Amino acid sequence: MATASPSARPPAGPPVLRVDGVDHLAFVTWKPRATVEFYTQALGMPLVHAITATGWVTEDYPDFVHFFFDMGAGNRIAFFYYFGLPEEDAPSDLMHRSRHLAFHVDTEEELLAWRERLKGHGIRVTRPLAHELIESIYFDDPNGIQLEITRPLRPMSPVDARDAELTVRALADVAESPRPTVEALWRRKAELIRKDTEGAGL
Amino acid sequence: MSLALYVLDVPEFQPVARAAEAAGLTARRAGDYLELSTDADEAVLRRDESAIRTAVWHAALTGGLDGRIVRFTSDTLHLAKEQA
Repeated sequence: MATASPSARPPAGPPVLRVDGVDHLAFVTWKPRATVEFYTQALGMPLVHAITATGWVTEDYPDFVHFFFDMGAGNRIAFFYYFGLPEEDAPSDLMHRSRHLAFHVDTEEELLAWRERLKGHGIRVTRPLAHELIESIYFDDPNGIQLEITRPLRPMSPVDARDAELTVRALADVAESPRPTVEALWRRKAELIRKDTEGAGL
Repeated sequence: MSLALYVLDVPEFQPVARAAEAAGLTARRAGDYLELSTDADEAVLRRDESAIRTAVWHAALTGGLDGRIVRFTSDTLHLAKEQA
């Protein structure tokens, strides 16, 4: 009987536990027809699952339909439609723009082709906007959820992660002060960089 | 007190480093960053000298600042030494 060599044993300690991407994101809709048409036709995402139920979760939970579209890469976007639920007010413009969902494409050609496709479906869509690492177009779904399609301008690299580590360390320090500002964050980050580089003799 | 900014050494931020050098700051490597510093009390970076895209310009100080912002507009970044 073969026995595992010591080197084939798993390392000691607890196993590494890591989730594997997005199973689904869930939103609420008051416009089921427009939502289904938008996601299946304009975005080409197949409807893959729907469940209807009485409100069983808690006593005041409304009866509902929960339906799912396939976003690709094993990811789904889902909507609840709640019977009898009054429509909520729209969020502020800042919250509308902040809470968004970005879909990935690989190339500029795909990004531009998506823009033309969306326009062909009568959807208002922005011009491509280049950020630091990505270039994006923006548009809204029928529920007012801001969507984005984005492509990488260059791959993220370890230097980006090291920079992000310093930024969030500076943010954590500054955010606990009475009046946090981005200028204070930039000053704190410079201190951290100097500390790191002087410590490493760089 | 000194006046310095740090620019991550990646392609999209190279125009920021060039704008800083055009403003009279001197570059030296500091780990993953370029440290751009001057003995002068003030420095004015101009966006039109750097052909830098809007999102990156507004993030020009994301690497860090040893100094203070006098004025940061859509085309000018005026920096000064911190007051002692």
